[in-house]
Amino acid sequence: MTSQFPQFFDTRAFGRVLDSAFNDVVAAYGLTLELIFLPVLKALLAMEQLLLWLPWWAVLIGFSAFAWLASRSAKIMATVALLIFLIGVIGVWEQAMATVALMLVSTLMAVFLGLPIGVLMSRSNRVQGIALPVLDIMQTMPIFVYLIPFVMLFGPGKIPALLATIVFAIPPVIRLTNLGIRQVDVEIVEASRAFGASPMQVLTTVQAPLALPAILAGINQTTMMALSMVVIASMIGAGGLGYQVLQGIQRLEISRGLFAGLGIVFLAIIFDRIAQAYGKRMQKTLKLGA
Amino acid sequence: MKTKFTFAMLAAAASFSLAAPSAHAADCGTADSVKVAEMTWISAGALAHIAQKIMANGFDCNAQVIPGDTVPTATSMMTRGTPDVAPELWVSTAQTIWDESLAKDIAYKASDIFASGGEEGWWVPDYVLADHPEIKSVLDLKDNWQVFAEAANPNKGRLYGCPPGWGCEIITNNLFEALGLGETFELFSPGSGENLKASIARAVAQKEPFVGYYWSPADVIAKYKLVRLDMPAFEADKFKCLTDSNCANPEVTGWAVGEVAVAVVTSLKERAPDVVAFLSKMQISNDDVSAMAAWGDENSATNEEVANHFLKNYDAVWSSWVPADVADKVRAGL
Repeated sequence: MTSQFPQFFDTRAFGRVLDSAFNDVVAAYGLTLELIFLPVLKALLAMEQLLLWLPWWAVLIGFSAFAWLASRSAKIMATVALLIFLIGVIGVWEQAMATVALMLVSTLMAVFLGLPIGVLMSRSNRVQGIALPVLDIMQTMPIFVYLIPFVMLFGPGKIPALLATIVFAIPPVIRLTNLGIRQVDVEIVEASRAFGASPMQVLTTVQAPLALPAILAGINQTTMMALSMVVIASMIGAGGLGYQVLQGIQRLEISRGLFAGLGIVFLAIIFDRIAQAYGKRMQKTLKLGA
Repeated sequence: MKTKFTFAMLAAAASFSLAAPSAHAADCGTADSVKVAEMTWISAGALAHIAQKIMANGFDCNAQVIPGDTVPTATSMMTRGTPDVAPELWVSTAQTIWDESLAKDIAYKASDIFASGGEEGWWVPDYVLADHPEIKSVLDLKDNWQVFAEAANPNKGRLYGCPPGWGCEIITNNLFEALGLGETFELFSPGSGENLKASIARAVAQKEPFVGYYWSPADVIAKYKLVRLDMPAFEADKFKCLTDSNCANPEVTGWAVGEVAVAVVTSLKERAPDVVAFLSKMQISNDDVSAMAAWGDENSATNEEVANHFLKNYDAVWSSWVPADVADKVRAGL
């Protein structure tokens, strides 16, 4: 026989209370929560429809132009154009656009929320002390634990997928913003203060630019993590490439899973190359300026 | 010398064969291990543990429960001969694989696990029928789409389809087309069984309308008081087309009563004949299954605990599956 840990309180009864309380919350606020996030959903759907409405060559040119602006490198631009083309060739264009829409919106929201939190953390040790364990929990808690409750709260589909993606993908941008700002040379900060810069000026003109490579690395990681969520998000009805992977696995259609998987890989390479090239270019300009 | 030896052997053989019937206790034969597939839902999970416990305690088998799901498990049984037993295999969900396994004599149906078979279809919570008496059958959905519209897409009703990869996905998609629901309904793919369940839980908690795929027996049916929408009578040839993803002209027909098999690999007949005899008697009424699953849900019990609950409280059901001495051993092991 295995030995047992003594039971200090009735976990099952406690669990039941928790479950029924959650059900009450769903019953009372479920619809309201869904309505609050309806604008986000509409934005997401509009984004997806725009990407699908545009002819494929327009999307290709758009991405290539974006790559050129970020990298100023013909090689990277050509790579991006080729990969976009390949996504269409392997026949997952529609799904890829749905995935791009979900990923872009969730990354934008993660950055939008994550940057201020990261800045706040870098300015106060107490905030950092509270935020770090919370971030640890967010990164290690298995996704399914909060995925299904999200579905019950927000209804199935893209909204819980978006929120779960944000929870999963936001930690890197927060962590690296915090770290980047804290790693800025103290003497430089002191020097700028000595010249009479206000705390806000120190942040925007000294700390933020010097921390930019770290922050960009964080954003890059956040993008990659958002992309890695697409398969899991499709399990709650988000559609996109992940859904194809899921169908491929469940039906043992290796080819379908492989093509959709390749589509995800291509998207990852595209976003990674663009973000990295931009980061490197920023670093170079900053070093030249210093 | 030679004759003597043969004579001794004959005598020995005779004494063995005489002694065999009385001394032979039901056992696990020559099987090193018997693997039972534990599917993802509660009834199949509990049945897997019930079978495992009876084999392990009653027949002294090295019986293991391994995770599975309908199509992957059926495929694995066919291609690799493992797991040995799938106590609740929904045949229609893995029809082609299953037919092939039967044809190649790799697996066979030991018994129908549910006395009245499996019921699949589109279900609504009971309050939907009470509030909208005009909705009775799947044919009434098209004109009453407003009832099922959701905020995300107010111009169409939402029909929760079948999770991807499940066999019912193709049937649901074809039936959706056959009923002409595309004009007024959006066929929403829930992505996974968990998500389908969570969607039902959400709708019922808010007393919101819901219509979607489900099956019985299942804890969800009892817990959320779901009612199956009527369907036209079952017609085999039309239904066959519905199960084909390339069905050119899907027509409305009733859902076939699900053949839910205790699927067993044929080689187990030789390896563990006594266990196979037990599996051929394994059958439960649909009501008992739903009650068992509902108990499990109410008490947030694990599949194994549900199995123990069943073995303790439904003695009359399972003890008829096995010889009396085996039943005693199973009871002793509880």
